[in-house]
Amino acid sequence: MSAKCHQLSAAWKDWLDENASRLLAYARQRCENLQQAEDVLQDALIKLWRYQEERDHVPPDLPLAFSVLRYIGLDHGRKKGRQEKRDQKIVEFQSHQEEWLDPAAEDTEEAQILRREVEGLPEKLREVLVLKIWSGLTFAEIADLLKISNNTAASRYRYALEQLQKKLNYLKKNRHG
Amino acid sequence: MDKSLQKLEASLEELVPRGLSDQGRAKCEALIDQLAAGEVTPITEVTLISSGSPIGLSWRSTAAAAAIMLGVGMGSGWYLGQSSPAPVIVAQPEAPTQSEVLAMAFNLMNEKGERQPVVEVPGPMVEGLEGEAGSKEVAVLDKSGTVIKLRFAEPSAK
Repeated sequence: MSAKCHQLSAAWKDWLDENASRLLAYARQRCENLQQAEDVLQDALIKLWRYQEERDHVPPDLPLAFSVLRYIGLDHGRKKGRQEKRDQKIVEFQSHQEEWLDPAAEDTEEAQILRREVEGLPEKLREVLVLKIWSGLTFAEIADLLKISNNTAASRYRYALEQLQKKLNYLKKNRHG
Repeated sequence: MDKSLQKLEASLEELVPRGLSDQGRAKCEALIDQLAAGEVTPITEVTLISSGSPIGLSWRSTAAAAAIMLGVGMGSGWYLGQSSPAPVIVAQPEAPTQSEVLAMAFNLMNEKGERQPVVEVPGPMVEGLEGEAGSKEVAVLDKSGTVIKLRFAEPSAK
């Protein structure tokens, strides 16, 4: 590999180091399991490389990366039916490893509940929440990505938080009640 | 936003998204190395040129595509009835996508370093690469002018 190739490779790997978690969290929404999300991310890398050809292959900015990821995730979702039976077995065996958000030994009960409940949000709310909290995008960038208005993006985000809060309150009340 | 939602927001921000698995990271890094070294042809656009006129090309491009195909075909003996080059078998996942088939086919051509225009794909025609109704074959032209013929085990359903 030439020096230039090494440089490019290093730059993209650094970019991946910095952004893999947030990209994977977003991809995970559209996939049955972590492995599929990783496959979607790899497909996105190839497409992003192609798109960056005109910019000397510098690593992409995040809005583009999420846009490509979204497109590939949607495409992947359409083909999901063919793989569903096979993947169901994988999900059953690996369900404890399939959480999007990394469990930590010192997790509070609230953290455990939040991780579970985020994954259970309706898709439209979850998508905005994931993008806002973990992906580093602004409401304007999220709106552009999802082809919705800024107000709609902000409303969905707020509604997602309210749903989570309601659920937390309910669970705490039941635990103490 | 009221304080309880702000507090919730802060709690969410403390949760850490799961990173790539060791295997996933290794695959991504290997892929990046291949892309940087030009070993992977990122196929995003191809044109079908065996099901009548090319889709979306002007008449000049159509003529150019036909000339390329003819040139490749004659060079490899397609049209002159000579013995065809041995098809290259492509191993594939159970249900490949269009981009997977194309990436494998074009990468094989690059690896072989010669014009092997016929690539056999042991499976049904994938969505987006359908040839004429009942046909098992489709030729594709990518932006670099490379032509490749894909031969699937099962014909198009349309």
